[in-house]
Amino acid sequence: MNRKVLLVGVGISLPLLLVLGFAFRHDPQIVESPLIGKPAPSFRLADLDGNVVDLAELRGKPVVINFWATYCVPCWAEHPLLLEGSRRWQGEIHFLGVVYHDEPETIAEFNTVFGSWGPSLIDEGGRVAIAYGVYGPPETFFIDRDGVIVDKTIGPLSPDQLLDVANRMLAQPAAATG
Amino acid sequence: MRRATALLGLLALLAALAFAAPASAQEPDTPPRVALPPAEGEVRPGLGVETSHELGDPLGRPLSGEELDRAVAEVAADIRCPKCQALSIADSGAAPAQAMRAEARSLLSQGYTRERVIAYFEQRYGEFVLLEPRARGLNLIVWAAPAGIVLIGGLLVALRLRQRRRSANEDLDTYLRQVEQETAT
Repeated sequence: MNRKVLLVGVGISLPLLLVLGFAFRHDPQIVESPLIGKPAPSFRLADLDGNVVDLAELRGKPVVINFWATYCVPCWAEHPLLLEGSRRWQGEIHFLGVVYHDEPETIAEFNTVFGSWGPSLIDEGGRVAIAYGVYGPPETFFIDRDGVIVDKTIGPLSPDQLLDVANRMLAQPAAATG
Repeated sequence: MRRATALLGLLALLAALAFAAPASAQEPDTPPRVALPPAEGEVRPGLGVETSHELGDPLGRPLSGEELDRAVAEVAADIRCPKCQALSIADSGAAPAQAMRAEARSLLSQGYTRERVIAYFEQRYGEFVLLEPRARGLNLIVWAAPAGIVLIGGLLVALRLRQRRRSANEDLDTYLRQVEQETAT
């Protein structure tokens, strides 16, 4: 009788433990993007000064697209790193900021106080964020010379992440571009 | 006469200042720091994201009016709000949810089917954006587990009841045998 109870208990609890063990190894907030390895959705957006940026025209050099907002605290945390990155790879990698549901005036104020690492593009209607499947800022997409999304990070960027992906994108031969 | 001339001169000066002020405030070489925001729902011509080659041609008929409202509500009820906890974009007032509803409305009004619109969101966000996971792969656990648990529980209860009945019968048999033995002597 005791052996039976033990077997039944193990039979029920073992699968549950396996499922929980599998689930706890992953952060539920981190959802893998289905866009990795696919062409980056093409967009044309205007920055705060009205200058238009066309993603297709940047083909040939890697692009870092960061979705951010001034109300997002982790975006403030990664700001110095993006400033440093844009200086370090100036002329080699394009850094673009896409404003995620925020006011242009607040963005302009933020940039005046803390400095700007790239154009702050206004995503009217949030359609670009939808096309990139953004769950919430900050999210950063890395696009190689051929316009393919090679990586994506959720949450504030770390120096190691930025260095690793930037080096990978720069290592891609320029000849591969169309 | 002199007073009238002075008054006219003053008015002319004021008019000149009024016209001159905006001209001097707007330098031709320095664009405004912040471009004027568009009206709600307005997207400037030529700006935005290109998705038509991913969506393909619309296969349904363009919806409008109440039919469009109903279709938007149906799609929105199935899509998870990316900024909320287990809320659909139909139930959320968050800005991303509003944007997704507007996108669904735009696509449905162009003639994209409900299935295509839902598939578009899934292609962008992954399966997590669906409030009801598809019944395939590991997701089958979610669908099968409740039925499985009820089934296993039912079997355990049935086994237990059978055992109890059997042991009760055995006890009764033993008792009857004892009674028979005692009455025989």
